[in-house]
Amino acid sequence: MRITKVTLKNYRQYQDCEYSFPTGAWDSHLFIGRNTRGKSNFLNSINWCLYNDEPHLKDKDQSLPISNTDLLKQCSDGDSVNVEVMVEIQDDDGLYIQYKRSADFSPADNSVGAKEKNNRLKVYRQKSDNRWEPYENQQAQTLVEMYFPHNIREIFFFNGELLNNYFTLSTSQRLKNTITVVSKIQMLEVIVDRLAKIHDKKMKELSRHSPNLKNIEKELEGLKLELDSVRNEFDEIDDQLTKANKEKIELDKELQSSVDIEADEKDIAEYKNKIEALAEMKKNKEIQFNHNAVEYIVLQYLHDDMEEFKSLIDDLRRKNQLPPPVNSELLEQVLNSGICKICNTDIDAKKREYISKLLKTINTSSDIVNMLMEQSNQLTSNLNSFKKIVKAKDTTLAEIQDMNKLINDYDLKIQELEKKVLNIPNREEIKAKRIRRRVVEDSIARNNRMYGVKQLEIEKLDELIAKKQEEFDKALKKQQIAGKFKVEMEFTEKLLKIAQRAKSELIEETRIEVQEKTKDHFLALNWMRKNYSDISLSKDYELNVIHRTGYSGIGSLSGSETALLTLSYILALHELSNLSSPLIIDTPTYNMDGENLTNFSNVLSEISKSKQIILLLTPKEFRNELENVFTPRLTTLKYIESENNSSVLKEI
Amino acid sequence: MPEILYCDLSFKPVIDEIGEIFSKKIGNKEIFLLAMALGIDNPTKIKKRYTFVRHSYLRKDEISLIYTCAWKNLGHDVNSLLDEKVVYDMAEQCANTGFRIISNHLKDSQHQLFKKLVLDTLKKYPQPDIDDGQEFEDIS
Repeated sequence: MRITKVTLKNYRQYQDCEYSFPTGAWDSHLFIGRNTRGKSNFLNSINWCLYNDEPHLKDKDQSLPISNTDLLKQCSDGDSVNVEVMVEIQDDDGLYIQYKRSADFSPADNSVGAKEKNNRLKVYRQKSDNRWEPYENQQAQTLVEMYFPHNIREIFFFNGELLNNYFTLSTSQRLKNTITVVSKIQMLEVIVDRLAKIHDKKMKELSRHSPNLKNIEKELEGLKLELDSVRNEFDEIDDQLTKANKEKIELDKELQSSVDIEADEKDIAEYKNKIEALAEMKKNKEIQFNHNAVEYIVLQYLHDDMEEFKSLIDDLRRKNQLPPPVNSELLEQVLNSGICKICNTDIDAKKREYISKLLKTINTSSDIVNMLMEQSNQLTSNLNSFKKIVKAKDTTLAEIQDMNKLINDYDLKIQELEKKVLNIPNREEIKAKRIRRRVVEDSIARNNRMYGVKQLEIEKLDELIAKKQEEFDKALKKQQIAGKFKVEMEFTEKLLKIAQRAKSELIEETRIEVQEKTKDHFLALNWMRKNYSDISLSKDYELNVIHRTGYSGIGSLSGSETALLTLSYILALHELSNLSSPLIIDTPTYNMDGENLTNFSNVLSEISKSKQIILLLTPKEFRNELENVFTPRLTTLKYIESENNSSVLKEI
Repeated sequence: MPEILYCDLSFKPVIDEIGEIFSKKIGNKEIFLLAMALGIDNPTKIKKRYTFVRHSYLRKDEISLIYTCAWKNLGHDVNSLLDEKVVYDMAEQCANTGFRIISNHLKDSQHQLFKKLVLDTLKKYPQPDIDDGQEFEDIS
């Protein structure tokens, strides 16, 4: 397969240009152009046509529209520039295919860039009867992929930068991907994917129909074990109950006629507690009694004198040696208001005179009289208090005596009981048996409760086991149905594994072939064999060159050696992919000169015997070394010139 | 009217001991009146005064006991009772004697004599049978 023609219409700096690639003994085509003349854009135009992108744009080109800018400027409102790139190829059967991509561009509103519309790819394929059949959309894209697979386009269309740095810029994954594509295992990959999907589907069907019998069986076994355990516990409780009841009957018999020592001891303890409580109460009463006693002593010691003192005051009063007790403040108020405060009537002159006289008498009485009156009142109060305190003292004393009596009574009872308990023969034995009977009674009560609980547990577990057994039976039936799905799933799984293994093996085979063919190409050059002994492509897709001294590493290669290694690798991929696609290389020898350039030129020209080679060179690259090699083998040599701001091709 | 009633400083330990006997449930006022009653027949002068009772704490009936004490020891002369200082001085002197009596009774570490003093006093007044000192054994 080879490219026969490329036409460019209004594409970037090309307004109307046609690259033709005639055939000859050699299929080598050189296009020389200074910078900015459109070498890289020629490569871009092919990419745009086939894949609708431009991977080789320089920074300054990024913002420029695809359409020719001069024409775009001339567009008036509503006008647009039609851009079209056509790549024509001739397949191995001699039939032509034309790939045509076109799009309309109009100036953008902000005067920067352009608005694109109607972008479409059309493919015309020549049939054996010379009829041209058109293809669009997916069919057109399929025809692109048939000759120029998009994911390995870098092995058809590339530039000097990639040639010099391919193994530096490419990751192992990228190399692996390329080799996978080259391995032509796409169909196998489709089979693997399809089988994986079928396998998943079968798995889901199986899990839907498979009732997880093992788990149910496990749960059933668990329940049965639990039931056994509960039954054992139940039997144990039953046994304990029987034994305890028997023991209780025996103890009851033995203790039937015995004295209840514990009851006596309990009574003793109760009496002691009562004595303790009484002692506390008695202490409080005694404190109260002491208070009463102090008050009593004071009043008792002063009693006779108080009586005598009061008697004296009373005598003075009886003998009218003391004025009557009169409220002088009230009398003063009556005089001031003129109204009697008792009967609320006006007082006449006679009464007023009497009150004034009375008040005068009171006021003239000595302070001693007031003092004596006060003392008389308090003495009366104290003598009455004395009578009360005697009573209170006696009451408290009686209470204390009662408490003492009670304490004595309780003490006597304690002594009697202790004597009784001490005189009982085998009292320790009886006591121990009584304690044992209480323990047995507690045990019977506790086990009776547990007996009921365990009975309920057994009933509940019986129900659960019955349900689980039912579930298990149903699951067993389902499993028989699931068996069919299981067979299918296992068969799919086997197929999937075989396909996956085949895929891996094919990729692995391709890797080894790539390695061997790269080595063949690289070491076929005598001057390389002088320096390098081997090339390896590891399972991790790391390419390595072994120097004849044993030193390894791509880093030791010179620029032209690296480019040759890349070329060897790319040629190996071309061979293995069975693709006869051409090589289009932009500025391949930019950094080469001298012997290296001659050697590289020789290799490329040799390739052009069997494969179409299109080189885009700068004038600087077209030096004597290259010219000397290619001139006798050239098919096309043209200059890319600029004419009226548009790139054109000129014969040399 | 005096604000404070005093006792002799030397009786402070006696006062503390009385407090102990009554489980600290007796006030200074009550102790003063007890001492005054016990020493009513023989007032003695205080040598070194010790602040003991605040006058404002005394009730009217308690003040009346002090006046009775003073009336007895001032020859039943009611006129002398007008001088409050004389009245309260006399009460302090009687209490001073009373503290001495109590002090003598407290020399017995078991306080038996003090209890006997109380018992004797109780016996002076007609009351239901209190046959022996048994009850007072428990008082403390």
